[in-house]
Amino acid sequence: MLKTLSYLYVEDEPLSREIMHMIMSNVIGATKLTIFEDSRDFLMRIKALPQIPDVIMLDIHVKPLDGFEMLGLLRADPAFSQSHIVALTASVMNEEILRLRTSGFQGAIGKPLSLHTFPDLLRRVMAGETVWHVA
Amino acid sequence: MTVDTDVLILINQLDDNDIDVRQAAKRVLINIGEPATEQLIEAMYALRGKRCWEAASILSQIGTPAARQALSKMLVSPNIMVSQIAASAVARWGMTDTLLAALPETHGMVQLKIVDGLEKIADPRAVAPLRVLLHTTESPALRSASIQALGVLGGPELIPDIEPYVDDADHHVRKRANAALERLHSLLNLSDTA
Repeated sequence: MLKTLSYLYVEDEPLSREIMHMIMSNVIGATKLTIFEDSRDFLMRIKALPQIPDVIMLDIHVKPLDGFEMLGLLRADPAFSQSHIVALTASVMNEEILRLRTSGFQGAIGKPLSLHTFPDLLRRVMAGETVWHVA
Repeated sequence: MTVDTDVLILINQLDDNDIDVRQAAKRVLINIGEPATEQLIEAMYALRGKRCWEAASILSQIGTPAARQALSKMLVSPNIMVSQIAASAVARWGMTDTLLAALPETHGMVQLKIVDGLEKIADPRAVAPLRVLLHTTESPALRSASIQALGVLGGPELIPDIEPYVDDADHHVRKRANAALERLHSLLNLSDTA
């Protein structure tokens, strides 16, 4: 099921993008992965995609809009009401974890991503579960 | 059918394009455990198809001494999927020496796993190699991860190493440098108070 979904990942760090691409293509077999390298014109670019992404994964520290701001835009737009929105973060700062938990993300997944756990975490997100997997 | 034949059939399923088929085969192989180890190691060493990294993943779960030894050798494998899985497993097993030996020799994606593992293991022997990595890597992700690990593992003596990175071109690195310095300065203040 995971391989047929469409995914969007917003990430400004090249190594993290490579890891995501590797997991998506090799492990999950997904063919519909779009990656934005920054959050400029975020809403305009996401609406220009051929389909609304089923899963939207946002790095928290992207610029010019950070993950929380992108989430706010998505939550305010009914077009994305069916999308599952997850934060990806390398941060271990407590205040940020707390903010993630209260901001309306369906979960947060710690980086670097694990080839072992990431597919199962995605499966749980798609099942409607809230997933917190950060250090 | 013998166990060997069963294992071979299951290993062949590890090349399936469907992740669910592979996951089912993995679960059975993990349950078989030790008797499957030798064939899984062969599949991993062959570095072919999906089976090589799926075999590595299973071996990391089985964790027998033979599995640990085989995975330890794969940290510098040319197959980055295999080496990333090996790095995560070796870190989970707390094998600091193996991680440190591989650190300068392996791909950036694997180095990222190793640095993350070293931070979690919290062995102070990692400080010197992490300093070298911090000052030599061109990857912002690795600078960022090294700074975070050094901020956790090190003491105030690392402040001069980290200070220059508050002006790094990458905003992730700047943020991590500031967070690490905050912690290291607080340690300094504690020792002053004492």
